Amino acid sequence: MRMTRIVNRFALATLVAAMPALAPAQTAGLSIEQRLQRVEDQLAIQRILINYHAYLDSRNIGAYVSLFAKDGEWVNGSLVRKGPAQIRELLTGLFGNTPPGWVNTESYTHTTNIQIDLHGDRATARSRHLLVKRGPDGSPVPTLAGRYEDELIREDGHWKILRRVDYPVLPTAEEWGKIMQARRAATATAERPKEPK
Amino acid sequence: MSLVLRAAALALLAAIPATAVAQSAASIEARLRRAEDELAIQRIIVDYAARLDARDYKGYVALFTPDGEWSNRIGSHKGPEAIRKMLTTLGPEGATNTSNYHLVSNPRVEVNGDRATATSRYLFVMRGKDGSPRPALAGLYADELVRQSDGGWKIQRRVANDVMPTREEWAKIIAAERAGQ
Repeated sequence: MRMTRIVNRFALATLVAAMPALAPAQTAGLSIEQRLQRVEDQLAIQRILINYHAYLDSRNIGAYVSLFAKDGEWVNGSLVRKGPAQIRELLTGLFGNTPPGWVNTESYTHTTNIQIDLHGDRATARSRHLLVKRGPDGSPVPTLAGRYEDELIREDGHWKILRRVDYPVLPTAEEWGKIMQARRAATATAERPKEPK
Repeated sequence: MSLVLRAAALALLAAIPATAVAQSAASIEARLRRAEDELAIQRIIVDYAARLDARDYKGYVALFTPDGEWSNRIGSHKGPEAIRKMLTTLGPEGATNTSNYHLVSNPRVEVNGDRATATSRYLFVMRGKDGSPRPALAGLYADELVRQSDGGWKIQRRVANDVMPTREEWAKIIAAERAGQ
């Protein structure tokens, strides 16, 4: 019993000694203003991650492209798009030109589980995304779940995405390709003009 | 005369750093207030779902200003009594709720002095037939908020915009579920 008490006391003393070192480790030696800057950076980057899908879901291609750095990169498997022109082409290729005032009632994306690590004028971020699409009866159907790994850079005083890597998880990229292929085939069949009888 | 000028110059030099420090402190205070406001409003958005799901009606009503309003495409409920009455259709206050819950995400907060606007996404998840979670309703909240005299924030207006399903589709789903029971 006595030995247990001694061990417990030792463990508690070690924990207490370690706590101050653990808690403020990232802000040790920083001024109040520098600490405030870190909080602002964290909020600004959170907002970029959320704006990403606000712009993508509403097909606001100009605003979407502006989230990336001058030589920003978007990556999904072997698909790589670098720079504003290529990133814009990626979206116009997927969605075409969005008519003014168009409202997306067919899909949207939840952005969650945001983890941000700041390194001065650079940062890394990880997050989860869940694409929700309108099902046959109108109900929301979780369709695509994955994660992002981002590198960000402070460019002209504003945070921008330097590199975003999209890792699809459910379904896999191969499974998603099959789903999209089947969907396109079904749409093509539905749209084919019927033979006059 | 030159003594007076020298004294004035010295006073000016002494005053500059003090003013700069004061301005810097004011700037830091304003920036800190902005960050705190954003975090406080993000918390209100999450508290809203927590109190609704927990059937904490008193806590839910307290999130709104005395002239606060909740509305969707079906109707509007303004003031604490009307908002509380709307909630009682969900069952008794404080009842354990294992039938559904709200996921809230994607908060976008814009603070403008003592007023703010915010949007966020919601996904209402219901208990499915075998108990599995079934996403049932997805939409977008649009909020107007006001800073209170104690420095906290309250919702003056919340609009719940259901996106999937539409109101008509929702009515059909409910009718089909009732017919199948």
